[in-house]
Amino acid sequence: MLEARRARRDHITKLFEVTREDIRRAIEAAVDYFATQPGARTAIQESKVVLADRELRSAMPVILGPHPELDNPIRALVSQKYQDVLAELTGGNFQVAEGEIDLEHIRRLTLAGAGLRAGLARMRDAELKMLASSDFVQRVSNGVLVRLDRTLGIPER
Amino acid sequence: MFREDILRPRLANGSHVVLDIDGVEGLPSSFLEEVFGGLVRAGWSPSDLRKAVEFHLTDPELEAYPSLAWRFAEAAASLH
Repeated sequence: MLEARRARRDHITKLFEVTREDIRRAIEAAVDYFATQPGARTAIQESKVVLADRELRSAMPVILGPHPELDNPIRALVSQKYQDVLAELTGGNFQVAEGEIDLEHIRRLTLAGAGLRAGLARMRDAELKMLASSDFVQRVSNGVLVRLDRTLGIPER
Repeated sequence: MFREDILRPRLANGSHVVLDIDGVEGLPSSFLEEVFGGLVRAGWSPSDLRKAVEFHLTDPELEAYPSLAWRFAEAAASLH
């Protein structure tokens, strides 16, 4: 039982940390792409952004999946931040051949990335807190059961 | 171009358009903005667009796209 709880905690922590790291890499790749003059961008730069977009789209449904025990406002916040990142990651002048570097778009992109990473940290903490709280309830109920067993198990003299 | 050559003529004749996006690698936001923001800038209201265009998808990786498309439509409407 203890091992299972520890494994669950480790799984939650790793899931969120891996996704937060994916986001960091995605933003770095996108900043590198968008900070290059549109006409000078390379296929490798573009591929990295496309790959990052894909990785994020495959990771986030797992994170935003059903967690009935979790506060809806946190999930709604993370979902909103995820949409913000998706909107900016391949937005702005992505795949545009001409024009200037859009610094305002880069600012929005990094802000969206930071917002999603922060939101995921909050969601991870909430999940771990929820898990710890259910552990506590479990321990208390076990304690009650033990006490009842003792009370009922002692033969009256 | 997708918006002008495919989508807009069908919407203009009153068709209900189902966009089946299963199988795409991804839809860049710049593309979605051009299509849905562009239609709003061309005179469509976001609510009329929602009635006329429907997304079809089964791949969970693509689930974010419809709401992103409507988000761009609403954003374009707020600036239009």
